Amino acid sequence: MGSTPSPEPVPAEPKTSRPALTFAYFGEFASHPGLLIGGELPLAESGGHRLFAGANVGTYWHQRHSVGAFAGAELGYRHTFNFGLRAELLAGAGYLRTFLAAPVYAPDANGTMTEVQDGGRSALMPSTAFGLGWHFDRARNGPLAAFARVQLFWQYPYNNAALIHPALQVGLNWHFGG
Amino acid sequence: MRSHRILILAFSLLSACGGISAEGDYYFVRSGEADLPVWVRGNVESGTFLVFLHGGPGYSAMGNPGALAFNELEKRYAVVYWDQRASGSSQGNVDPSTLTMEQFVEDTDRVLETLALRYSPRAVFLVGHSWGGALGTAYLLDPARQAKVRGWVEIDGSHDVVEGYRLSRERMLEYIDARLAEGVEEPWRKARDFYEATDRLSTDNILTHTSYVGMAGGYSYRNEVANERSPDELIFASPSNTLAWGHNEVATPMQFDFYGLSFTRDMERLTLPSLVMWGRHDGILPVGLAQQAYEALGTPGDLKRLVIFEESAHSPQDDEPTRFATELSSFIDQHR
Repeated sequence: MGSTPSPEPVPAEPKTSRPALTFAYFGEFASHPGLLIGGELPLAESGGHRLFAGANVGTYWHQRHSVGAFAGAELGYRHTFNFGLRAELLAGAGYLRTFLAAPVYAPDANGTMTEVQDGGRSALMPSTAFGLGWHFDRARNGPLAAFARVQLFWQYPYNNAALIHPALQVGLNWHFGG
Repeated sequence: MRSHRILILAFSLLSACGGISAEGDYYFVRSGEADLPVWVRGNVESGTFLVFLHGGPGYSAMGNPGALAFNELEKRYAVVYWDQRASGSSQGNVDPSTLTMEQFVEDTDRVLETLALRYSPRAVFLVGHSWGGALGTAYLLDPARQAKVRGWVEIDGSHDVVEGYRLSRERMLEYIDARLAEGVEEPWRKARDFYEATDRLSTDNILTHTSYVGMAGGYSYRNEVANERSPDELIFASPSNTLAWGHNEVATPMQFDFYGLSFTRDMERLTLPSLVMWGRHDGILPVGLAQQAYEALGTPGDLKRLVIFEESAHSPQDDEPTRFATELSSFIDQHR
């Protein structure tokens, strides 16, 4: 009399939506470089589809023009294919402060020009991005993924309008747990 | 504030390690909500400073460094390139209500005062191109301000926008009729309707007019402007923000109604040494304005000069750069 064979173990579905840290090059493409550090939390997950929230801080430098420092939050949707490729869309909003990247002169109370400290100018920073990436060792739920994102962000106000900036992010996600 | 200085220092060190840098001094002049970039290049030791007033309004001076004419001038003098409010790569959040001639004049004065603070120049010349011709004229109408400047150079300038448009419209109608006679209907039939219906420039029609003038070749005669700045400097060390420049170039002329300006009758108050330079084929501010400007100036005859560039349109500094630099240097050497 044969015994009923025990069912094959079902492989655990790879999870990439664990909390993650983000480290990235952030720049107005290659010409105005900077850095971005952030994190993301999973909000919902189904199969390879994930919705996540992120927060980040960063800076970029446009020589002889400005230094931008920003902090923001974003919502993202990511689809990760079984073989590791992932594609994502993000939208967010943040605070941008820009500082002039050279000495600044302004009139004093008597109208005489004098060198002054620049305290910077504030702006809202809405953004949207599209990215492609690769989840290394996805079958065993590895912690590391690499990504590249093309981002558009806006600086508002700029001369009573919103000034668009193209940006590039290239970096790594490190997913905790597993 | 200290933290942003540390950031700038760190980025500057990175840049220096990469060997990418741009020559000259760079600083900003803050005027209300406008941060005006100023780039001083060339022979500062000469003590002679040429302050360039760019066109537009809304355009930029930052594309000029590296161009042949300016390279030649920088060997002999310091050349001061700066972007006006709501123009080029200037920064800040300028309210459209501050786009007035009075405010542009005040900004110019702040740029000159800062120049005096930093360099104590022996001689300052104002060099106004296109809209810069109107701005320089307005600046110099005040005797106290005129006293700060050794000489005035107007290049295809808009000291009289009303007359400039009248001449430009006349020229365009001649050009359009010639095209229509050749059987070229598009876009000239529509253009003729536009000019028949438009006897005065305004914020509503300026872009259409400049577009037709461009199609008729009224801006550039040779169309071979060369810039000798290295590609790595242009890409990695340029102070320009191309998207801001594009935004300002379109938005500012539509927010600033300067189209009724006419300084011709006031120009007798300008008595300083003056040079009027004009391209024969200028389509936006035709050469007829040059003779009018020359005659309207209050400058004594032996201190003013009129030079027409036979192979130039709106920008002789681009179309005939070598002759441009020679003529300008000759004038400056005579009066500095």
